[in-house]
Formats: sequence, C-alpha cells, structure tokens
Amino acid sequence: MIGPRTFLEYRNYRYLKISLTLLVVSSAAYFVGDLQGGRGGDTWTGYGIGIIAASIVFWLMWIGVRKRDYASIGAPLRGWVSAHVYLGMTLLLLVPLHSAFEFGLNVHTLAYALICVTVLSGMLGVGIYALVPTEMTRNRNNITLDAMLERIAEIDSECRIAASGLPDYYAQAVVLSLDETTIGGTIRDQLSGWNDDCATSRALRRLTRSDIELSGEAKEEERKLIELIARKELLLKQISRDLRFKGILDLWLIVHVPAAFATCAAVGVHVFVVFWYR
Amino acid sequence: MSATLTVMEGLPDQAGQVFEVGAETTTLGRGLHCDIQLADQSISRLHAEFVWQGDVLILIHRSQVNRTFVNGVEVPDRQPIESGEEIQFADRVVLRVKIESEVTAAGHDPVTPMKLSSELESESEPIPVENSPPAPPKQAPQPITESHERVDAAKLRLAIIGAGPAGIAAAVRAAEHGIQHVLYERSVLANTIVKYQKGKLVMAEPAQLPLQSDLKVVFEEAAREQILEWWSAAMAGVGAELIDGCEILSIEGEKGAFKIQARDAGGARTIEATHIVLAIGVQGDLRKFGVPGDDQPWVTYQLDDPQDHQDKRVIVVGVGDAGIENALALAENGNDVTIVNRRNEIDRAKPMNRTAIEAKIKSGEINYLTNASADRFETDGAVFRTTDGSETRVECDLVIGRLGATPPRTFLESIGVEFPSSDREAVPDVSEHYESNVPGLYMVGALVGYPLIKNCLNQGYEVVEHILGEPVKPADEPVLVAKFLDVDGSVSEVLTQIHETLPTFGPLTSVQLRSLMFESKLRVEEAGVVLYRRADFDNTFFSVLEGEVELTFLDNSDPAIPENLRQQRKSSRGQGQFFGEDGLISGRRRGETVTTTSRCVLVETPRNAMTKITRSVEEVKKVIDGAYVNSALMTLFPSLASGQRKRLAYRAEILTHRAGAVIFKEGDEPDGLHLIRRGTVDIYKNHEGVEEQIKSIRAGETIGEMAVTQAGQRRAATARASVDCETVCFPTELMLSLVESEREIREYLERREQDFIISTVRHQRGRGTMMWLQKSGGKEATDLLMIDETLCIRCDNCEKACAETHGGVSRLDREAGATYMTTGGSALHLPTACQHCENPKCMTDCPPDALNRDPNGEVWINDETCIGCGNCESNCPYSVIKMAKVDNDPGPGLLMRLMFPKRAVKMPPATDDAAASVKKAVKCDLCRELPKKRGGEPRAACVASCPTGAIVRIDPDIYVDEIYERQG
Repeated sequence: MIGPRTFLEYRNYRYLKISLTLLVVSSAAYFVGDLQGGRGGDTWTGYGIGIIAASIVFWLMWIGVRKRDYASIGAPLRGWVSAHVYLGMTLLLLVPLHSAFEFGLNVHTLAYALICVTVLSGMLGVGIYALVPTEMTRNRNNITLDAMLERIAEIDSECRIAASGLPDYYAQAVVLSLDETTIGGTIRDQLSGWNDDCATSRALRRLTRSDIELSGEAKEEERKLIELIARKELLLKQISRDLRFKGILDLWLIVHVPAAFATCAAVGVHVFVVFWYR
Repeated sequence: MSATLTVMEGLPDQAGQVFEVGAETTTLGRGLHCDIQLADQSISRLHAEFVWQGDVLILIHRSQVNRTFVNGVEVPDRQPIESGEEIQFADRVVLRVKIESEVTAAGHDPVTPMKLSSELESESEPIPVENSPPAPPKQAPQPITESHERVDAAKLRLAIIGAGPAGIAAAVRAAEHGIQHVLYERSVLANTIVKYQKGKLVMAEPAQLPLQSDLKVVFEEAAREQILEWWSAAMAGVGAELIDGCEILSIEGEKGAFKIQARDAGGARTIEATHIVLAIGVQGDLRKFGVPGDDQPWVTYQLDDPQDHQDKRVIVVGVGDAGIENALALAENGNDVTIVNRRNEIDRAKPMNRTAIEAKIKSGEINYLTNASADRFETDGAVFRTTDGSETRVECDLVIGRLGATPPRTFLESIGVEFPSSDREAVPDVSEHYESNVPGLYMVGALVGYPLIKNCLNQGYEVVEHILGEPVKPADEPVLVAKFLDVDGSVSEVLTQIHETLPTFGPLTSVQLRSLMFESKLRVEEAGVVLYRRADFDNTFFSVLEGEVELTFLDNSDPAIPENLRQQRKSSRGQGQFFGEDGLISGRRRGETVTTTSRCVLVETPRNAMTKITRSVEEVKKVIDGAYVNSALMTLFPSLASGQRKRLAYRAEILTHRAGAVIFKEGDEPDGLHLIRRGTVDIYKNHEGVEEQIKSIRAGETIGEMAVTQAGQRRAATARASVDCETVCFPTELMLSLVESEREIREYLERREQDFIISTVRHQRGRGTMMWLQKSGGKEATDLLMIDETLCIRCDNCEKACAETHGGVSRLDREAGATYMTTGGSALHLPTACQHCENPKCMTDCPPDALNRDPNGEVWINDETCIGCGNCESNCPYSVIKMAKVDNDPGPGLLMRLMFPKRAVKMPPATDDAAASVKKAVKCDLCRELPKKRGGEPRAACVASCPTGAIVRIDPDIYVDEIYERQG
C-alpha cells in the first residue's frame, strides 16, 4: 500500500479517537447525572447528548452532498468517510445514553431501531469493502471487463466457423450458447453468481455428451469447438463473479441509504413529538 | 597570463633556476631542442609540453618511458595546472609553477569546460559561483552604424553571386532601384529548389516571421513548381539580369573596384563590380563520406527524381530534412529503404518530416539504423560502424548520402573573409548590414547561417537597401521591437549589449543572435521576484544582462538527511552569467530556486532554441556542458577544493547511451564514476543466474561508485540505460587517487555503496513490484497515479470527479492499465492516466504549440489553440491522450443532481458551429484549473474524491521506497 492507508486509518485514527472521547465524556456525564438523581431525555444531560446525536445523524447525511462536490477544496472524501464511519457508530451508544436505556413500542424507539439498522448495514459495508476488492482483483486477473467481453465476441465468431463444418447437432449447441447466454440480469441473478444452468454450460454438456462418431478433420473441429466453448464458459464464470462482487459492493447500500433517510424522518418525528406533547 | 617554472628539487646544478613558459607550446625535456632543458638522465628527451588554453595552463605528458606527477598524482596524458602546484618529472626532479595574470580581467575565453572550472570562486568565498563571470567576448561585435551614407545608384555596379532566394531577392530589388547589376549562378536559377522532388511542398517557416513588405518576390507554402514560377516571374517582371552556368573562381580588389574572375560556357571572363553580394549558400560543398569505396557510381549525394528508382535496396544516410524526404519518396516508390542516423535522435528535421519518418519506421516500412556511420562501401553493400564498435553490413543497390554541408570556407578565406573560429560548423560573421570584414563584400542567406527561405528573401532585399544607404528595418524588427519594449535603446543597441555582455552568446554571429532573440524573451524584473522554484519543471535557459540573482539550493549530498534539515546553500549570478542550464540538459526538475536580488534584465531562452544553438555552435555547447559538470560537482562534493574539482571537470568525459544500452556490466573493469546527466539508468544484479533489477537511478545522481572506491574492484552490478541517457564519466584512476586524498569523496562513495547494499537486500522483497512498475511505464513518470486495488471499491468516483471537473470527459480510465499483486498482498494498479513524463513525447510535435509544461511538471494542452491534429495522441507511448469533444458547460447544479438525478442530465450543446464539434486532445492536466488546496498545493479531483483513499498521486522519486516500506 502506498501513501495514506485505508480511510479507517485516516490521520492516524483521528476520528476513532474523537468518537471514543465523545463516548467517554457522554458516559461520564450520564453517570454523573445518574448519581445526582436525574436521567433520561428530559434532563440537561439527556438534552445535551440528544442534541449531539441528532446533529451527528444530520451531518452523516451530508456525505451524499460532499461525495458529489468533486471540485471541493476541503478535506478529502476519505477523511469524510472516516469520520462518517466512526461518528456513525457512536450513535449505537449515544442514543441509549440519551434515553437512559428506556425502550418501548413507540416512535422514539423506532428511530433508534432505524439508527441500528443503518449503522449495522454500514458496518457490514466496511467489512465488505475490506474483503471484496482484493477478491475482485484476483478474479479479474489483469483483464478488464471490456477485454473479457471482446474475447467472448471473438470466441463466438470462431465457434461459428468451427461449427460450420460439423453436423447440425453441433451447430444447435453453438446457437444455444450464442443466443441464450445472458450476462448480468436481475439483481438476484447478479448476486447469485455463477449458475450451471447457463446456456453456454448447457451447450458444453451437449457437446461432450454427443455420441456422433466423427473422424479426421471433423474430429479436429469438434475438439476445437469444445475448447472454445469451455474457454467461453470460463470467461463467463469470471464475469459473473466480477458482477457478483460488484453487486455485493453495492448491496449493503440498498439497506443503508433508505434506512438512513428513514432514520432522519424518525428522528424528526421524535423531536417534534417530544416537544409538542411535552 | 604568464607562467614560470622554478626548479625545486632533483637538479643540484639547476636549483632555483627559473624558466618562462612561452605563449606558444613550450617543450620540456632533456633534449637540446627543448625550450626548457633539464639535464637529468631520468628525464626523457621530450618529456612534457605546456600549452595555454585561454588563460589556463595545460601540462601534456609526452614521455613514453618516464612519468610525470602533479602534487603526487600521476598525469595520464594532460591536465590543467595551477599556480603553486609542484610538478615532478620522472623520479626526482620537481619544479614549482607560478602563474600570473598580466592584466586584470584579461581576455577571458569561455571556450573549454576546464576554463569554466578555473573561474570558480576563490576558496575563501563561501558562496560558489558556478559559471563564468562577465568577460568581453573574444570577438568584438561588429560596429553597428545606424546612419549610412546614401550612395548614388547610378554609380553602383553590383555583382550578385548565387541565384538562390537571397540572390533572386537582391537582383529583383537592385533592378527595381535601377542599379546596374548581374546575378551570377553556377548552375540554374533557384537550383536548390529545382533539385527538390517533383511536387514537393516547400514550407514557409517560421510562421511568425513576416516578409519585407516591399518584396516583389512572392513566397508562401506551395509546391516546388509554383515557387519556381513565382520566382522566374519576379525576375522577368523587373528585368533582373541573370547569367547562369557561370562559376566564380576568385575575387580581388576592394570596395568600388572589385575584379571577379569567372568562367562560363564561353570561357574565362573578368567581371568588374563596385559591390559584391555573396549568396552562394552552403550547397556548394556537400559533405562526402570520405571512406573507402565511396567513389563507386552507386554512392551518390542527391536524388533527382525518386521515380527513377524502383524495387531497389536503397540506403539513405542522414536524417535531416533532405534525407528524410528522399527516404519517404523512395519508400513510396516501392524501394526497400534503410535510413541511417549517426546519432539516436531525429532532431534536426522539421516536425512534419520527423513525424512522417517516425511513423514509417514504427510500422516497419522503412528500416532504421541508429548511432551508425559509414565505415566502407564494398562491391554490393555498405558497412556501418555503430558507436558501440560493432559493424553492420547492409546490402544495397544505391546509397544516397545526405550528410549536410559546410560553407565553402576555403574559397571565402581565399578572398579574405574571416571566420570567428576554427570550428568546422562556424559561419563567417557579418555586420548588421550583412557586410563582411572585407569592405564592399556582403554575404547573405545560408552562407551566414540562415537556411530558411523567408530569411534569405528578406536578407537579399535588405542587403541592396543597405548598399544604397537606404534605411531599412530587418523584417524581424517589429517582433524584436515588441520584445525589447521594456529596455532602453534601439533593437541594434540591445543586441550589441547582449553580444558584449553575455559570453555564452559571444561565439554567435550577429545574425544567429538575432534569430536566438527572435525566439527568446527579454525580461525586466524588479528585485525579489522568484524566477523559478526548486523542483519546478520548466526548462528555459536564463542569461543575466543586468542585475543579480540569487540561487538557493539544498545540499543534496546526503540523502539520509531529511529535506527540511538539509543545509541551504546560496550562490549568485551577476551580469554576463547564466543559470537554468541543467533543465536544458536533463529535462529534470529545477535544482534550485532563483530570486532576483536587484532590478534585472534577463534573457530567457526556450529549451528548443538553446538546443539548436548548442548543436550548431560547438563553443556554446562546450560552455554549457562545462558549467553543468561544474555545478553538478559542486552539488555532489560541496567542499571539494577548486583545484581538485577542476581536475575532475577537466578529465570528465560526456558519454551518450541509447535506451537499453549497457553502460557497464557486472564483473567488468571499471571505467570510472558515472554521473547521470540526462535520462534514467536501471541497475541490475545477477541473482542465481538471473539478471534482476535492483533500482532505477535518475539524472543528477551517480552510478558505479563501488568499483572506484578501491583499486582492483570490478563492477558490482550492471547499469543499463532505461531511456536515452547521457552520463559524465570521471575516470577510475583519478577517482581512486581522490578517494585517497579527499575525505568528502571517500565518504560520499561509501555512503552510496551502503545505499546500494541496502537496496540489494530490500530488493529481495520488492523486486517484482519494481520490475512491474518499470515494465508498465513508470520509469518516465514524474507524477504517477496509482490505485491500491485492495482498497478500491470500484465506485468510479475518481472517473466521475475527473469528468465533472473537466468538461464531461474523464482523463483517466480506472479499469484499464496494469495490475500487480505484490508478495505482501497488495494489489497495485496503474490506471491509464497521464504520468507527465520526464521528457514528454507528446510535446515533441505540436504544430500550434498547444502543449505546455508548467513549473510543477504538469504537461497540459491548451484547448483554445489545439487544432485537433492528433499528433500528441499518436506520439504518446502510454495511450493516455484521447481526442474528444470538450464541453465546458458545467451542466445542472449540485442541488439539481441530488434531487432529480434522472432529469438533471447535461444536454449536448445545441450548436451547428463546426469549430465547436472539432475533437481536441485531452489528457490529465493535474487539475490545474481547479481551486488549489489551502496552502496553494494543487489538488487532484480524482484523489480528493476517492472515498477509501485507494487512489494516490506519487512522486516516482520516492515510490520505490514507499513500496518497500508499505507493502506489508
């Protein structure tokens, strides 16, 4: 690794340190308040921690804006991400401190539940970011996706030529591979990765199970065709793995982003309710 | 200067005797014929000689048997000596040298590198001065007379010799004035152009130079036939007289009464003239091979019509415009063409020609032989010797030597014309009115160093006006007037001042100087202005005309000391001195920061113009090379005594190495310590039978230290030029003797040796990465964009950021490019993006000069001047330039994009304007137009927009260490 390490280590764990400090100070305030007989959201300690937590929630949302401000001259995006991760995780403890560990079936606890969903999906994302990229590189093996697709197109035309001198049975298998092979598909398809039911795999099975007796040049052509289809299958596997990894990299966001918006809404309702029905 | 030698030891009979060293070569020995006779049997008959080179005394060892030492160090063949040094001849005779300058500030002669060293600071001065102090030029510039007596046109009889563009322009102008004149031509009108291939496009360069407004000879870029038609029409239109087929044999007499002996088809004739205009060009004396077998009929020096040759094996020798054009035409005609270059770069040709030939060489349509010169011609082929000594034999049916030409010097000297130097390439000097040192004899055009047609036409016109005493401004006058606006004095006064003040430009003729200034900038700066900063990338050459500047550089001698703790050294440059020369040579970052300390008038010359001058005027090259060696030595060994530094500089040899060439091989006897002057050198070591690369060393550093620390050592590794390189070699025996006596050198070499050992050990781990980086093109980078793929989440925010900040076109392709899994588990990826090469190939051929290089090294394209020709795209070896339509409309704002991502799509510009739809060259410009970071540092949008920190920009100077440190 060259230059600054991961966003987690940004500026020598600056935001981890800030977050831990925040937690220690908040806990201390909580326990001091507890000893003095007052705790809960409606004490000064509770208000203080609540305001901090709510501010963090809204600040965390701002990353969506910062991410798109490409000409920004402020801190680099990885610094923002670092702060986003650590400060986001503090919410898991800050909110219970704010509510004095009181939960119930109400909109207040709903807000916390949504925070938990958002934070946990975020942590999952961090985990995915730590593991998947290396696997992707390994799978890619120095070939770009475009290059793989080009190679498949080449193989397809070579298959056509090879099959032209063989019986129909072979041509049908090639047509199956050519016409019915799909790449990508639905999110589920992408995430499920390689599927043995792929048209090319079926074509390969057909070719290998052929009981047509061939000889001489035709035999040679058959061998060549099998090799081409096998190679195509391998490339397709590589591509489907790549797409699967890409899907995984984005998957957690499907939970994280809507949950974050929902959190914002719930926190807004929580604040409104608290002050309206006071 | 005068010098004496006093006998100190070894000769009891002659003890204390003082010998004078004469102005000429002074011989020393036992022989009776010697100027200095030393009566001792151990002394050879002719033992040594002393000669003056400028004001430096050189000792030349002549004896085959007995040795000579200076201060205990043996003299190999020659060496400069200084006052106070003791010379020992054979085993016992010792003489002490005393050198005195007769007159203070006597004629300095900035000719040899050694001379430059001798003008170093005195030892007591803390501030070193690297190049020569102001000195009157060796040759006083021609007096420039502004007012000129008007001459009665009726009394003039003008002989114009040579009917090229200059001669034609002169004859036409003379006819217009009604001057009695004849234009004499050895062959036919415009012979040079007649000899061009049919239909050849004649270029009209330089574009910014206007033609004299009254010139009646039409000229612009056109086909050969068109030009000939225009010129014949111009001659006929005014009734200019031409006698062709007339050869000039001699010129006698003086202004007002010249007698020219000539010979034409009708026999000998004598021409009488009051004034002569010589416009004979340089074609008259085409350079010949001068090697065995060059008298065979198929060894020729010109190509009349390429149509005459088909299916032949042809060798074209020479890569000037003529050679390239011949080669291209012959190849087009179905011949098997080999073009031979005696060096390794095609740099004297016009960019268009160069591009064309390089494309043909690349595609294999034309064979290319570099660093080769003809050795001999056999019955059916030519043998070339390459610079590494090997022979290459090429079978052929035809050889065309396009070796350039020299001025017909013998003829000119026979008629009394003086040359400024003995240099083979030297051209005679003329006054600003083109009058030679022979009054009444004028010379114009290629003969005085001006080969371009536009210049010839202008000069032909102007010379007639000058002869008449009519005031005429040279055609480039308006350009120079604009350049000189900020300084006092007329153009000619400023030019005279430059010529007198700047010794570097002393050897230039006034015409060459004009052309240099045509391309240079004259800058007037107040005190305290920073001209450039250390690590800047611009590479102009500065000369101080007035005022003083201060150079601040860090002591680089110990890489172990962090940069911020290194000592700052200061130096100054005053009137007549120059700076910025190492950028000129190496193309590397500036080594120092330069600030004006008083009001300064500076000449800033672009690298290209300077390189052209250094190539055609050897003396300027010597001065600059000398200064380079000197300042490099000063950086390497800051406290080395000037005498020792001088010795090193004097013995240093500049070597050139082609990309891939072995500079030295592991196990070889060492030839010396190499200082890399230009390029990058890769160091390889044999590891279990396999040659593995240890590291890369860049310009400004040394290689081969280990073998010169102790006698008998052999090369510990192999050094190979990574790109085209130049090294300065300090010979082994000198280094060995200095290691003994100089602690600083010893320590330096030991430190480098230790570094090398550490590198070798570290390399065990990082070698794969290094090899990969080198292979992927990192070796030329000055700014590498690299992605750690273990962190890259493939969000493509880097590409989006680049496109969003650069008119909708991303200049980086994240996915493309090489990837390498290191042993430590990192995956390094070089996305396809400009790495801002040390010597950018893209910049070599941009017709509108739209490619620029900023002080911070970034190479950027001015999209206003880019004409979309695609030269840079095809010249880039790394395919990082693409042709694209750039749309500078920023598109929907951030809020729109956030709220309506689907609708907030930028619409293509609704214009039919053809200009707007031209694709232009785009590439990474290091976000030069984006706001800088706090503190002024540039910020790359791609790096700042990476959410995980996977993408980084790194300085390749440190990437190797970074890789070793970080790869886990």
